[in-house]
Amino acid sequence: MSRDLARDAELGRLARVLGVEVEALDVLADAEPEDLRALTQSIAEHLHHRHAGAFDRAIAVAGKLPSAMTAKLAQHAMGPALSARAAGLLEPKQAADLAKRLPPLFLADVAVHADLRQVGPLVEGLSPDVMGEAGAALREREEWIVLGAFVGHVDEDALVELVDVFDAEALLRVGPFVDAPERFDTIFSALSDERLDDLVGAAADLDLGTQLDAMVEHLSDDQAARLDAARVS
Amino acid sequence: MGTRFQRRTVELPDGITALGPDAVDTVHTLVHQAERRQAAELRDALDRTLKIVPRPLRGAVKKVVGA
Repeated sequence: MSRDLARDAELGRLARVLGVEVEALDVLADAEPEDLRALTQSIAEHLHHRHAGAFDRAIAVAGKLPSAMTAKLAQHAMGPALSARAAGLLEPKQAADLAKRLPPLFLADVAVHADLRQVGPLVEGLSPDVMGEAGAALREREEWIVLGAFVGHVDEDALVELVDVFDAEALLRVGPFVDAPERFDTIFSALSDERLDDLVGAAADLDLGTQLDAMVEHLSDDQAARLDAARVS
Repeated sequence: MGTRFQRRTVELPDGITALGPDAVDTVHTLVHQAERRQAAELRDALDRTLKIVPRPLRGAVKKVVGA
């Protein structure tokens, strides 16, 4: 991945953690991607602990209420931002049980606010249908960073099914934010030759060739050969 | 980003500090704003929680959250 693309990706992640538009971080435009990543992790950790006591108490409340009531509180009282924070403090099984009781669009909202280092338990218990609906909502909102973080937590079979949810532009724009680049091979193997043609065409039309090249670095020889064939067709 | 922000919120990587005082102040200010936003969201959420939880359970909830 180019340094510029890596820097843009890290600035996007940092803006997300701070809850600001990326333009608010213009003073960091010359920072190295590695420093931005370390800064993002430091701030996420700081915010995570800042009100940890209040969240611990919220979790204690959740433990005393029926699951259905907890889901209702998450949706109608906590809202997506605080639910995302609280979900990160739940035991993985609790998080998975809660996620199953929440509608896909609310889960998409939660995902936008979640600490992306802790999204695993939220994602892993969901059915492919729910993941698909939440994923489509995130695509509609162009939440490329969030989608990129999810890729590493979706099992391979579900990932193959989910590829159909995303168009060529989405795949290209999510690419730089995928924390598990070994998954690109699974994604490409799930694409038909026709969809590979679309991907190559979209990369040219939307000036996203750099994003496509960054994914190629992680492809097996078989998938790289398929992509080469699409590029010359 | 307004006046120079005095409160240090997080440790910054050396590479960020090296960008200069404007960058450092901006980061600390944005972190502080995020903290304040989060605190306000928590207060509002507690108010909404107490309206949703059935009345017989509100005492227990208040006790747990220290409200």
